Amino acid sequence: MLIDRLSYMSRLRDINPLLKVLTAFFSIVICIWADSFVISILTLLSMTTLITCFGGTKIKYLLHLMTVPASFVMLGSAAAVLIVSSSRLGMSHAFSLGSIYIGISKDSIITAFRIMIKCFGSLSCMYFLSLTTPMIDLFGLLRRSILPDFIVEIMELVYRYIFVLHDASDRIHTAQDSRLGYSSLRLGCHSVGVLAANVFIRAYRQADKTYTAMESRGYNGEIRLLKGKYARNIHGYIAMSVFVMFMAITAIICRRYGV
Amino acid sequence: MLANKKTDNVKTLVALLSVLLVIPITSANAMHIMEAYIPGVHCILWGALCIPFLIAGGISMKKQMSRDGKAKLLLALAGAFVFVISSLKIPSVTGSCSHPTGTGFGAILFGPSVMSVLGIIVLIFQALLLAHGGLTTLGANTFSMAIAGPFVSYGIFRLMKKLNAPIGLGVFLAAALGDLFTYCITSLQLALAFPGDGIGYSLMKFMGIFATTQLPIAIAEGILSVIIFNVLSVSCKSELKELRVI
Repeated sequence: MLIDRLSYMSRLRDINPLLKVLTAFFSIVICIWADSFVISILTLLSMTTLITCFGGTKIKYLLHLMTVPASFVMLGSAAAVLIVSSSRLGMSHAFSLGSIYIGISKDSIITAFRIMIKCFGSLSCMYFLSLTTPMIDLFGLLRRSILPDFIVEIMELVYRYIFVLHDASDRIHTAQDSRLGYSSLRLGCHSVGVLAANVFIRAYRQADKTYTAMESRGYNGEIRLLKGKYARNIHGYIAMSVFVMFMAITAIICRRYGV
Repeated sequence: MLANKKTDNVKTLVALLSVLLVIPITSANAMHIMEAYIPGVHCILWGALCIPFLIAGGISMKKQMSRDGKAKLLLALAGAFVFVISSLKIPSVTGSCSHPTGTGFGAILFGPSVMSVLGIIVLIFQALLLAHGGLTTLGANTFSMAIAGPFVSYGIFRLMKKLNAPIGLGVFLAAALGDLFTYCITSLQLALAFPGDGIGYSLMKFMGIFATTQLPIAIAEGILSVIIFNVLSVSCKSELKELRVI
Protein backbone atom coordinates (compact mmCIF):
# COMPACT_ATOMS: atom_id res chain seq x y z
CA MET A 1 0.00 0.00 0.00
CA LEU A 2 1.56 3.18 -1.30
CA ILE A 3 0.35 5.61 1.39
CA ASP A 4 1.57 3.39 4.21
CA ARG A 5 5.01 3.05 2.67
CA LEU A 6 5.34 6.77 2.00
CA SER A 7 4.31 7.66 5.55
CA TYR A 8 7.24 5.70 6.99
CA MET A 9 9.62 7.46 4.60
CA SER A 10 8.43 10.98 5.41
CA ARG A 11 10.85 13.37 7.08
CA LEU A 12 8.01 14.63 9.28
CA ARG A 13 7.51 11.16 10.73
CA ASP A 14 9.18 11.79 14.09
CA ILE A 15 7.17 14.89 14.89
CA ASN A 16 4.60 14.46 17.66
CA PRO A 17 1.50 12.96 16.00
CA LEU A 18 -0.81 15.16 18.07
CA LEU A 19 0.64 18.23 16.35
CA LYS A 20 0.04 16.73 12.92
CA VAL A 21 -3.48 15.63 13.79
CA LEU A 22 -4.34 19.10 15.09
CA THR A 23 -2.90 20.78 11.99
CA ALA A 24 -4.89 18.52 9.67
CA PHE A 25 -8.04 18.85 11.77
CA PHE A 26 -8.05 22.67 11.95
CA SER A 27 -7.19 22.97 8.27
CA ILE A 28 -10.06 20.71 7.23
CA VAL A 29 -12.52 22.50 9.51
CA ILE A 30 -11.52 25.91 8.18
CA CYS A 31 -11.61 24.66 4.58
CA ILE A 32 -15.14 23.29 4.96
CA TRP A 33 -16.45 26.23 6.97
CA ALA A 34 -15.07 28.87 4.58
CA ASP A 35 -16.31 27.05 1.44
CA SER A 36 -14.42 29.54 -0.74
CA PHE A 37 -12.14 29.32 -3.76
CA VAL A 38 -9.30 31.25 -2.11
CA ILE A 39 -9.18 29.22 1.10
CA SER A 40 -9.45 25.90 -0.72
CA ILE A 41 -6.57 26.74 -3.03
CA LEU A 42 -4.49 28.17 -0.15
CA THR A 43 -5.06 24.97 1.85
CA LEU A 44 -4.18 22.82 -1.14
CA LEU A 45 -0.96 24.77 -1.74
CA SER A 46 0.17 24.89 1.89
CA MET A 47 -0.50 21.17 2.46
CA THR A 48 1.28 20.26 -0.75
CA THR A 49 4.26 22.33 0.42
CA LEU A 50 4.23 20.62 3.82
CA ILE A 51 4.04 17.15 2.27
CA THR A 52 6.61 17.62 -0.48
CA CYS A 53 9.09 20.29 0.70
CA PHE A 54 9.09 19.50 4.42
CA GLY A 55 8.11 15.85 4.31
CA GLY A 56 10.20 14.98 1.28
CA THR A 57 7.47 12.99 -0.45
CA LYS A 58 7.89 13.06 -4.23
CA ILE A 59 5.28 15.23 -5.95
CA LYS A 60 4.82 12.43 -8.51
CA TYR A 61 3.26 10.21 -5.83
CA LEU A 62 1.10 13.00 -4.47
CA LEU A 63 -0.28 13.77 -7.94
CA HIS A 64 -1.01 10.10 -8.44
CA LEU A 65 -2.84 9.93 -5.10
CA MET A 66 -4.91 12.98 -5.98
CA THR A 67 -6.47 11.02 -8.84
CA VAL A 68 -7.73 8.23 -6.54
CA PRO A 69 -11.16 9.75 -5.84
CA ALA A 70 -11.52 10.69 -9.53
CA SER A 71 -14.52 8.47 -10.09
CA PHE A 72 -16.45 9.97 -7.21
CA VAL A 73 -15.48 13.48 -8.27
CA MET A 74 -16.74 12.78 -11.79
CA LEU A 75 -20.03 11.28 -10.65
CA GLY A 76 -20.52 13.86 -7.92
CA SER A 77 -19.73 16.80 -10.20
CA ALA A 78 -22.01 15.44 -12.91
CA ALA A 79 -24.78 15.29 -10.32
CA ALA A 80 -24.01 18.78 -9.02
CA VAL A 81 -23.93 20.33 -12.51
CA LEU A 82 -27.29 18.89 -13.57
CA ILE A 83 -30.43 20.59 -12.33
CA VAL A 84 -33.66 18.65 -12.21
CA SER A 85 -36.73 20.80 -11.82
CA SER A 86 -40.35 21.20 -12.80
CA SER A 87 -39.67 24.51 -14.56
CA ARG A 88 -37.07 25.64 -17.07
CA LEU A 89 -36.30 28.74 -15.06
CA GLY A 90 -32.63 29.71 -14.94
CA MET A 91 -31.29 26.86 -17.07
CA SER A 92 -29.07 27.80 -19.99
CA HIS A 93 -29.39 24.39 -21.68
CA ALA A 94 -32.13 21.95 -20.91
CA PHE A 95 -34.27 19.17 -22.28
CA SER A 96 -37.61 17.95 -21.06
CA LEU A 97 -38.56 14.50 -19.91
CA GLY A 98 -42.33 14.52 -19.62
CA SER A 99 -43.09 17.35 -17.22
CA ILE A 100 -39.58 17.44 -15.75
CA TYR A 101 -36.72 19.53 -17.07
CA ILE A 102 -33.12 18.37 -16.85
CA GLY A 103 -30.50 20.96 -17.61
CA ILE A 104 -27.46 22.97 -16.63
CA SER A 105 -26.87 26.61 -15.76
CA LYS A 106 -23.91 28.88 -15.20
CA ASP A 107 -24.53 28.91 -11.45
CA SER A 108 -24.66 25.13 -11.22
CA ILE A 109 -21.32 24.82 -13.02
CA ILE A 110 -19.70 27.35 -10.65
CA THR A 111 -21.15 25.55 -7.61
CA ALA A 112 -19.89 22.19 -8.83
CA PHE A 113 -16.46 23.64 -9.45
CA ARG A 114 -16.34 25.22 -5.98
CA ILE A 115 -17.30 21.93 -4.32
CA MET A 116 -14.65 20.11 -6.32
CA ILE A 117 -11.89 22.54 -5.29
CA LYS A 118 -13.06 22.35 -1.66
CA CYS A 119 -12.85 18.55 -1.82
CA PHE A 120 -9.31 18.64 -3.11
CA GLY A 121 -8.34 21.18 -0.44
CA SER A 122 -9.65 18.94 2.33
CA LEU A 123 -8.23 15.86 0.65
CA SER A 124 -4.78 17.45 0.78
CA CYS A 125 -5.20 17.91 4.57
CA MET A 126 -6.05 14.23 4.93
CA TYR A 127 -3.04 13.32 2.82
CA PHE A 128 -0.87 15.54 5.02
CA LEU A 129 -1.92 13.39 7.97
CA SER A 130 -1.73 10.00 6.27
CA LEU A 131 1.51 10.69 4.37
CA THR A 132 3.44 11.92 7.41
CA THR A 133 2.00 9.81 10.22
CA PRO A 134 2.25 6.01 10.24
CA MET A 135 -0.86 4.29 11.63
CA ILE A 136 1.08 3.04 14.67
CA ASP A 137 1.61 6.64 15.87
CA LEU A 138 -2.12 7.29 15.49
CA PHE A 139 -2.94 4.21 17.57
CA GLY A 140 -0.76 5.59 20.35
CA LEU A 141 -2.81 8.76 20.21
CA LEU A 142 -6.12 6.85 20.17
CA ARG A 143 -5.10 4.88 23.26
CA ARG A 144 -4.93 8.14 25.18
CA SER A 145 -8.38 9.22 23.93
CA ILE A 146 -11.81 8.34 25.32
CA LEU A 147 -12.08 5.36 22.97
CA PRO A 148 -12.27 2.05 24.90
CA ASP A 149 -8.95 0.20 24.82
CA PHE A 150 -10.33 -2.95 23.28
CA ILE A 151 -11.45 -1.04 20.17
CA VAL A 152 -7.93 0.34 19.68
CA GLU A 153 -6.48 -3.16 20.22
CA ILE A 154 -8.80 -4.54 17.55
CA MET A 155 -7.78 -1.68 15.25
CA GLU A 156 -4.13 -2.54 15.75
CA LEU A 157 -4.77 -6.19 15.01
CA VAL A 158 -6.87 -5.34 11.93
CA TYR A 159 -4.06 -3.12 10.68
CA ARG A 160 -1.55 -5.93 11.15
CA TYR A 161 -3.70 -8.57 9.44
CA ILE A 162 -4.73 -6.38 6.51
CA PHE A 163 -1.19 -6.84 5.23
CA VAL A 164 -1.07 -10.57 5.97
CA LEU A 165 -4.38 -11.25 4.21
CA HIS A 166 -3.64 -8.83 1.39
CA ASP A 167 -0.40 -10.67 0.76
CA ALA A 168 -2.20 -14.02 0.78
CA SER A 169 -4.87 -12.77 -1.62
CA ASP A 170 -2.19 -11.35 -3.93
CA ARG A 171 -0.38 -14.67 -4.11
CA ILE A 172 -3.60 -16.60 -4.72
CA HIS A 173 -4.48 -14.12 -7.47
CA THR A 174 -1.12 -14.64 -9.17
CA ALA A 175 -1.53 -18.41 -8.97
CA GLN A 176 -5.03 -18.24 -10.44
CA ASP A 177 -4.03 -15.81 -13.15
CA SER A 178 -1.08 -17.94 -14.27
CA ARG A 179 -3.48 -20.86 -14.69
CA LEU A 180 -5.81 -18.77 -16.91
CA GLY A 181 -8.26 -18.24 -14.05
CA TYR A 182 -9.20 -14.82 -15.36
CA SER A 183 -9.35 -15.57 -19.08
CA SER A 184 -13.10 -15.10 -19.36
CA LEU A 185 -15.76 -13.23 -17.42
CA ARG A 186 -17.35 -16.43 -16.13
CA LEU A 187 -14.05 -17.90 -15.01
CA GLY A 188 -13.07 -14.55 -13.50
CA CYS A 189 -16.22 -14.45 -11.36
CA HIS A 190 -15.57 -17.98 -10.15
CA SER A 191 -11.91 -17.25 -9.41
CA VAL A 192 -12.70 -14.13 -7.37
CA GLY A 193 -15.22 -16.11 -5.34
CA VAL A 194 -12.78 -18.92 -4.64
CA LEU A 195 -10.10 -16.39 -3.76
CA ALA A 196 -12.31 -14.61 -1.24
CA ALA A 197 -13.41 -17.88 0.33
CA ASN A 198 -9.81 -18.96 0.71
CA VAL A 199 -8.89 -15.65 2.29
CA PHE A 200 -11.69 -16.24 4.79
CA ILE A 201 -10.37 -19.71 5.61
CA ARG A 202 -6.86 -18.24 5.94
CA ALA A 203 -8.19 -15.55 8.29
CA TYR A 204 -10.05 -18.04 10.46
CA ARG A 205 -7.08 -20.37 10.81
CA GLN A 206 -4.77 -17.41 11.44
CA ALA A 207 -6.95 -16.28 14.36
CA ASP A 208 -6.67 -19.77 15.85
CA LYS A 209 -2.92 -19.94 15.38
CA THR A 210 -2.28 -16.45 16.72
CA TYR A 211 -4.44 -17.12 19.75
CA THR A 212 -2.51 -20.27 20.55
CA ALA A 213 0.79 -18.44 20.10
CA MET A 214 -0.29 -15.54 22.29
CA GLU A 215 -1.82 -17.70 24.99
CA SER A 216 1.35 -19.72 25.33
CA ARG A 217 3.16 -16.42 25.95
CA GLY A 218 0.88 -15.31 28.77
CA TYR A 219 -1.93 -13.46 26.94
CA ASN A 220 -4.79 -12.72 29.34
CA GLY A 221 -7.11 -10.64 27.18
CA GLU A 222 -5.05 -7.45 27.07
CA ILE A 223 -2.41 -6.35 24.63
CA ARG A 224 0.08 -3.91 26.11
CA LEU A 225 2.50 -2.01 23.95
CA LEU A 226 5.29 0.45 24.66
CA LYS A 227 4.45 4.09 24.08
CA GLY A 228 6.37 6.06 21.49
CA LYS A 229 8.50 8.94 22.78
CA TYR A 230 8.49 12.25 20.95
CA ALA A 231 10.54 15.37 21.50
CA ARG A 232 8.67 18.38 22.84
CA ASN A 233 8.17 20.63 19.91
CA ILE A 234 7.30 24.15 21.04
CA HIS A 235 8.31 25.67 17.68
CA GLY A 236 5.97 23.28 15.90
CA TYR A 237 3.02 24.32 18.04
CA ILE A 238 3.80 28.00 17.56
CA ALA A 239 4.10 27.53 13.78
CA MET A 240 0.82 25.65 13.71
CA SER A 241 -1.01 28.30 15.76
CA VAL A 242 0.26 31.06 13.47
CA PHE A 243 -0.78 29.09 10.38
CA VAL A 244 -4.24 28.29 11.76
CA MET A 245 -4.79 31.91 12.85
CA PHE A 246 -3.75 33.17 9.42
CA MET A 247 -6.08 30.72 7.68
CA ALA A 248 -8.97 31.54 10.02
CA ILE A 249 -8.64 35.29 9.47
CA THR A 250 -8.37 34.83 5.69
CA ALA A 251 -11.41 32.57 5.83
CA ILE A 252 -13.45 35.22 7.65
CA ILE A 253 -12.44 37.83 5.06
CA CYS A 254 -13.18 35.45 2.16
CA ARG A 255 -16.59 34.61 3.55
CA ARG A 256 -17.47 38.29 3.88
CA TYR A 257 -16.58 38.98 0.23
CA GLY A 258 -17.86 35.64 -0.99
CA VAL A 259 -14.81 34.58 -2.99
CA MET B 1 -38.60 28.35 -34.00
CA LEU B 2 -40.14 25.11 -32.84
CA ALA B 3 -37.74 23.01 -34.93
CA ASN B 4 -34.85 25.04 -33.61
CA LYS B 5 -35.89 24.36 -30.04
CA LYS B 6 -36.19 20.68 -30.83
CA THR B 7 -32.67 20.37 -32.24
CA ASP B 8 -31.37 22.25 -29.21
CA ASN B 9 -33.21 19.76 -27.04
CA VAL B 10 -31.68 16.81 -28.86
CA LYS B 11 -28.20 18.33 -28.76
CA THR B 12 -28.31 18.79 -25.01
CA LEU B 13 -29.66 15.29 -24.55
CA VAL B 14 -26.82 13.80 -26.58
CA ALA B 15 -24.25 15.82 -24.64
CA LEU B 16 -25.65 14.71 -21.29
CA LEU B 17 -25.93 11.08 -22.32
CA SER B 18 -22.34 11.02 -23.51
CA VAL B 19 -21.28 12.22 -20.05
CA LEU B 20 -23.29 9.41 -18.49
CA LEU B 21 -21.61 6.86 -20.75
CA VAL B 22 -18.14 7.98 -19.73
CA ILE B 23 -18.92 7.56 -16.04
CA PRO B 24 -19.10 3.74 -15.74
CA ILE B 25 -15.60 3.46 -17.20
CA THR B 26 -14.21 5.16 -14.12
CA SER B 27 -16.48 3.35 -11.61
CA ALA B 28 -14.36 1.74 -8.85
CA ASN B 29 -15.04 3.21 -5.43
CA ALA B 30 -17.87 5.57 -6.22
CA MET B 31 -19.92 4.89 -3.12
CA HIS B 32 -17.53 6.44 -0.62
CA ILE B 33 -18.56 10.06 -0.17
CA MET B 34 -15.39 12.06 -0.66
CA GLU B 35 -13.73 14.26 1.94
CA ALA B 36 -15.68 17.51 2.52
CA TYR B 37 -18.28 16.75 -0.15
CA ILE B 38 -21.22 17.32 2.19
CA PRO B 39 -21.61 20.35 4.51
CA GLY B 40 -20.11 20.28 8.00
CA VAL B 41 -23.44 20.14 9.83
CA HIS B 42 -24.44 17.04 7.84
CA CYS B 43 -21.13 15.38 8.69
CA ILE B 44 -21.78 15.88 12.41
CA LEU B 45 -25.44 14.80 12.26
CA TRP B 46 -24.73 11.58 10.33
CA GLY B 47 -21.92 10.85 12.76
CA ALA B 48 -24.26 11.36 15.74
CA LEU B 49 -26.80 9.04 14.14
CA CYS B 50 -24.18 6.27 14.03
CA ILE B 51 -23.26 6.47 17.73
CA PRO B 52 -26.10 4.32 19.18
CA PHE B 53 -25.37 1.55 16.66
CA LEU B 54 -21.66 1.70 17.42
CA ILE B 55 -22.25 1.55 21.17
CA ALA B 56 -24.55 -1.45 20.72
CA GLY B 57 -21.89 -3.09 18.56
CA GLY B 58 -19.19 -2.32 21.12
CA ILE B 59 -21.24 -3.87 23.93
CA SER B 60 -21.92 -6.96 21.85
CA MET B 61 -18.21 -7.27 21.07
CA LYS B 62 -17.26 -6.89 24.72
CA LYS B 63 -19.69 -9.66 25.67
CA GLN B 64 -18.25 -12.00 23.06
CA MET B 65 -14.76 -11.26 24.26
CA SER B 66 -15.49 -11.94 27.90
CA ARG B 67 -17.07 -15.26 26.93
CA ASP B 68 -14.23 -16.40 24.69
CA GLY B 69 -10.60 -15.26 24.72
CA LYS B 70 -10.21 -15.98 21.04
CA ALA B 71 -13.06 -13.61 20.08
CA LYS B 72 -10.80 -10.55 19.92
CA LEU B 73 -8.54 -12.14 17.34
CA LEU B 74 -11.46 -13.50 15.39
CA LEU B 75 -13.09 -10.05 15.28
CA ALA B 76 -9.83 -8.45 14.18
CA LEU B 77 -9.39 -10.97 11.38
CA ALA B 78 -13.02 -10.46 10.38
CA GLY B 79 -12.25 -6.74 10.03
CA ALA B 80 -9.16 -7.44 7.96
CA PHE B 81 -11.16 -9.91 5.85
CA VAL B 82 -13.81 -7.28 5.06
CA PHE B 83 -11.07 -4.79 4.16
CA VAL B 84 -9.41 -7.25 1.78
CA ILE B 85 -12.78 -8.26 0.25
CA SER B 86 -13.61 -4.62 -0.38
CA SER B 87 -10.31 -4.13 -2.20
CA LEU B 88 -10.87 -7.10 -4.53
CA LYS B 89 -11.51 -6.22 -8.13
CA ILE B 90 -14.72 -7.79 -9.36
CA PRO B 91 -15.24 -8.11 -13.10
CA SER B 92 -18.02 -5.72 -14.03
CA VAL B 93 -20.37 -5.70 -16.99
CA THR B 94 -19.08 -2.39 -18.29
CA GLY B 95 -15.62 -3.85 -18.79
CA SER B 96 -13.98 -1.92 -16.02
CA CYS B 97 -13.33 -3.24 -12.55
CA SER B 98 -15.20 -2.33 -9.44
CA HIS B 99 -14.99 -3.09 -5.74
CA PRO B 100 -17.64 -4.79 -3.62
CA THR B 101 -18.52 -3.27 -0.25
CA GLY B 102 -18.09 -6.61 1.51
CA THR B 103 -20.03 -5.40 4.53
CA GLY B 104 -23.22 -7.26 3.56
CA PHE B 105 -21.41 -10.57 3.48
CA GLY B 106 -19.63 -9.65 6.70
CA ALA B 107 -23.01 -9.01 8.35
CA ILE B 108 -24.24 -12.49 7.35
CA LEU B 109 -21.14 -14.06 8.90
CA PHE B 110 -20.57 -11.94 11.99
CA GLY B 111 -23.89 -10.19 12.71
CA PRO B 112 -24.92 -6.60 11.91
CA SER B 113 -24.12 -4.79 15.17
CA VAL B 114 -20.58 -6.16 15.32
CA MET B 115 -20.29 -5.34 11.63
CA SER B 116 -21.04 -1.67 12.32
CA VAL B 117 -17.97 -1.35 14.58
CA LEU B 118 -15.78 -3.39 12.22
CA GLY B 119 -17.21 -1.31 9.36
CA ILE B 120 -16.13 2.01 10.84
CA ILE B 121 -12.65 0.59 11.52
CA VAL B 122 -12.43 -0.61 7.92
CA LEU B 123 -13.65 2.79 6.67
CA ILE B 124 -10.98 4.60 8.73
CA PHE B 125 -8.31 2.39 7.15
CA GLN B 126 -9.80 2.85 3.69
CA ALA B 127 -9.71 6.62 4.17
CA LEU B 128 -6.17 6.75 5.55
CA LEU B 129 -4.50 3.96 3.57
CA LEU B 130 -6.36 4.04 0.27
CA ALA B 131 -7.95 7.53 0.24
CA HIS B 132 -11.37 6.00 -0.37
CA GLY B 133 -13.84 8.24 1.44
CA GLY B 134 -12.66 10.72 4.03
CA LEU B 135 -12.33 11.55 7.69
CA THR B 136 -14.98 14.29 7.75
CA THR B 137 -17.48 12.13 5.85
CA LEU B 138 -16.71 9.11 8.04
CA GLY B 139 -20.06 9.42 9.82
CA ALA B 140 -22.08 9.56 6.60
CA ASN B 141 -20.14 6.70 5.02
CA THR B 142 -20.41 4.61 8.18
CA PHE B 143 -24.16 5.08 8.27
CA SER B 144 -24.69 4.05 4.66
CA MET B 145 -22.09 1.30 4.34
CA ALA B 146 -21.53 -0.10 7.81
CA ILE B 147 -24.99 0.31 9.36
CA ALA B 148 -27.84 0.62 6.82
CA GLY B 149 -26.48 -1.94 4.32
CA PRO B 150 -25.46 -4.65 6.83
CA PHE B 151 -28.72 -4.42 8.80
CA VAL B 152 -30.77 -4.85 5.61
CA SER B 153 -28.53 -7.72 4.47
CA TYR B 154 -28.78 -9.48 7.79
CA GLY B 155 -32.56 -8.98 7.99
CA ILE B 156 -33.11 -10.38 4.52
CA PHE B 157 -30.79 -13.33 5.14
CA ARG B 158 -32.61 -14.26 8.36
CA LEU B 159 -36.03 -13.76 6.73
CA MET B 160 -35.14 -16.01 3.79
CA LYS B 161 -33.87 -18.62 6.22
CA LYS B 162 -37.15 -18.50 8.10
CA LEU B 163 -39.08 -18.85 4.84
CA ASN B 164 -37.00 -21.95 4.05
CA ALA B 165 -35.78 -20.46 0.78
CA PRO B 166 -32.62 -21.95 -0.73
CA ILE B 167 -29.63 -20.58 1.15
CA GLY B 168 -27.94 -19.43 -2.08
CA LEU B 169 -30.92 -17.25 -2.93
CA GLY B 170 -30.86 -15.81 0.60
CA VAL B 171 -27.17 -14.92 0.30
CA PHE B 172 -27.65 -13.39 -3.16
CA LEU B 173 -30.61 -11.24 -2.12
CA ALA B 174 -28.96 -10.22 1.15
CA ALA B 175 -25.76 -9.04 -0.53
CA ALA B 176 -27.41 -7.45 -3.58
CA LEU B 177 -30.23 -5.68 -1.72
CA GLY B 178 -27.86 -4.58 1.06
CA ASP B 179 -25.69 -3.02 -1.62
CA LEU B 180 -28.67 -1.34 -3.27
CA PHE B 181 -29.87 0.01 0.06
CA THR B 182 -26.40 1.43 0.72
CA TYR B 183 -26.59 3.18 -2.65
CA CYS B 184 -30.06 4.58 -1.86
CA ILE B 185 -28.85 5.95 1.48
CA THR B 186 -25.78 7.52 -0.13
CA SER B 187 -28.00 9.16 -2.76
CA LEU B 188 -30.28 10.42 0.00
CA GLN B 189 -27.29 11.84 1.88
CA LEU B 190 -26.13 13.67 -1.23
CA ALA B 191 -29.66 14.85 -2.04
CA LEU B 192 -30.04 16.27 1.47
CA ALA B 193 -26.70 18.02 1.08
CA PHE B 194 -27.66 19.48 -2.33
CA PRO B 195 -31.44 19.82 -2.35
CA GLY B 196 -31.58 22.22 -5.32
CA ASP B 197 -35.25 22.66 -6.30
CA GLY B 198 -36.53 20.06 -3.85
CA ILE B 199 -35.28 16.89 -2.16
CA GLY B 200 -37.43 14.66 -4.40
CA TYR B 201 -35.99 15.93 -7.67
CA SER B 202 -32.50 15.95 -6.25
CA LEU B 203 -32.81 12.39 -4.95
CA MET B 204 -34.03 11.27 -8.37
CA LYS B 205 -31.03 12.96 -9.96
CA PHE B 206 -28.41 11.36 -7.70
CA MET B 207 -30.03 7.94 -7.86
CA GLY B 208 -30.21 8.15 -11.64
CA ILE B 209 -26.56 9.05 -12.00
CA PHE B 210 -25.20 6.57 -9.47
CA ALA B 211 -27.42 3.78 -10.84
CA THR B 212 -25.12 3.54 -13.87
CA THR B 213 -22.38 2.09 -11.68
CA GLN B 214 -24.25 0.73 -8.71
CA LEU B 215 -26.80 -1.60 -10.32
CA PRO B 216 -24.17 -3.79 -12.02
CA ILE B 217 -22.03 -3.75 -8.86
CA ALA B 218 -24.96 -4.88 -6.68
CA ILE B 219 -25.67 -7.84 -8.94
CA ALA B 220 -21.97 -8.70 -9.20
CA GLU B 221 -21.61 -8.51 -5.43
CA GLY B 222 -24.63 -10.80 -5.00
CA ILE B 223 -23.16 -13.40 -7.35
CA LEU B 224 -19.73 -13.10 -5.73
CA SER B 225 -21.22 -13.65 -2.27
CA VAL B 226 -23.01 -16.79 -3.46
CA ILE B 227 -19.78 -18.20 -4.89
CA ILE B 228 -17.87 -17.45 -1.67
CA PHE B 229 -20.64 -18.98 0.38
CA ASN B 230 -20.74 -22.14 -1.74
CA VAL B 231 -17.01 -22.67 -1.35
CA LEU B 232 -17.23 -22.00 2.38
CA SER B 233 -20.15 -24.38 2.94
CA VAL B 234 -18.16 -27.15 1.26
CA SER B 235 -14.75 -26.62 2.84
CA CYS B 236 -15.44 -25.10 6.25
CA LYS B 237 -18.80 -26.22 7.51
CA SER B 238 -17.60 -26.38 11.11
CA GLU B 239 -16.52 -22.73 11.12
CA LEU B 240 -19.86 -21.60 9.67
CA LYS B 241 -21.66 -23.64 12.33
CA GLU B 242 -19.46 -22.02 14.98
CA LEU B 243 -20.57 -18.61 13.68
CA ARG B 244 -24.18 -19.90 13.63
CA VAL B 245 -24.68 -19.03 9.97
CA ILE B 246 -25.99 -22.46 8.94
